Amino acid sequence: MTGNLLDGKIVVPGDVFSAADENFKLVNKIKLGPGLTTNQAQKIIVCKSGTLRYKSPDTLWVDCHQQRYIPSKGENVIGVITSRQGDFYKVDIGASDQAVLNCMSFEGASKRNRPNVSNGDVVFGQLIVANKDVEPELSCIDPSSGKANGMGILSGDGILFTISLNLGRKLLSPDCVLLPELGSHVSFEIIIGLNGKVALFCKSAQQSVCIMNLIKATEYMSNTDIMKALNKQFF
Amino acid sequence: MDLNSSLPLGNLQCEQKVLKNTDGSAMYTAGETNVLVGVYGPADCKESKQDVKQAVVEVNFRPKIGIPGVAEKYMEKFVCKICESVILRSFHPRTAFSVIVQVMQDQGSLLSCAINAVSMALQDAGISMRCMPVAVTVALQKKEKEDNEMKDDSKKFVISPSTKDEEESVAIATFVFDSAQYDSISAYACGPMTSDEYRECLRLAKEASKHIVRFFRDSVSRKVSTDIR
Repeated sequence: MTGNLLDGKIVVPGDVFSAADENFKLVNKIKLGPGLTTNQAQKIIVCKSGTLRYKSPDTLWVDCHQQRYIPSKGENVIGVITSRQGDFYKVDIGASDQAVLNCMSFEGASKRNRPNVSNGDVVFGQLIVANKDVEPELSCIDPSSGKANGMGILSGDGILFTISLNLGRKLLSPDCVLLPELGSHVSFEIIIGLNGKVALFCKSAQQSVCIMNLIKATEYMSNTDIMKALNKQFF
Repeated sequence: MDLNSSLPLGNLQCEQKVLKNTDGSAMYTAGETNVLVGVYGPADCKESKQDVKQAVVEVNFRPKIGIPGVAEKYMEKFVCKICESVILRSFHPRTAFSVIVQVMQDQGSLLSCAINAVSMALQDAGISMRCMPVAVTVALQKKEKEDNEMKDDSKKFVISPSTKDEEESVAIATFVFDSAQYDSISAYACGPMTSDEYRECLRLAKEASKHIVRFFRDSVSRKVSTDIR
């Protein structure tokens, strides 16, 4: 398979490549991820600028440095409760619409035993409905196990800050050395939402600010640069 | 015919992500003209303005000093129509894209500089686009002969003219192309021109736009070069 040739290619909106391209000889159907669309002539059109990614056997998408979050089903996000409407809470997840969160979507919640949630609380959940035409819906129950699995209201002394979506994905990537390396020097707890919101829990405020600045600084760093920055910080 | 087709486009500079709170921003310099653009979107939008089928685009054009006048309103509309045609608006129904164009320094070719700046800012914001708009301004200068007789060789085409070039010219045309096929998206012309002269301007602008697209591509490569492979 020569689709690998396309991996890592830098693309800008308007770039066109055809599924009949020699790179796709072996694949009949291709799955298109974010940043790619098709036209009537069955050509693949790039609509975002960034790096083209290919995953065997048939998935293609564009990695893009985007700030604004666009909800996608199944993604884990962090949000802030803004208001309550009957059985539902409105949650700001940084998208164009606020997400809704049913008060039954917490582990152990029932009609009689409602969770104790107030405005301004930070919640970590999974998007179970994400469609451009309706508002997104959050849930704090893992559909596979029916348990919270770490999701729910986040409490404790931590800070919430926003990073670019690309940096969030980069930190979560198993290839990124920052968090494992950082963890070998200081102890902290971090939750990264795919909407670019990060909740960080440390022993002291100084540590929190220090780690936050370090994370924000790694946006345009490669793994070797990250190691250099860490060595400067700790040795 | 004296063609300045070999004339460089002046110094092109672009810095993306210059503003912190916007979703995308770009500071674009072409020659001596400098424009700063901030883009928000797809963002929440008042219900009265919403469109259930597609996103709406608002453009705000701010001059360097004073309040926006008729000229600014015209450019606003012009840029807005271009944005509407390139953004895939049906991807984000009931939302709004807000584009703010701030003129920092105007030394000629303002409209094309503003459109290129908007193009870079939209691209920085990661907004889904059909293609990138690329704009080039061409000015037509004619030298008056002593016997008042116009000759072919007295014509001069200037690509991205400065304010001085614009003052000396008889006609100015701004062309907007798409970055994929180099088809014309939009055009603005003022001053008397024959259709041959207009076609020549279009040809020169198309040539120049290829350089600008190359510049766009270079700046994107530089921005994403540190992505983890």
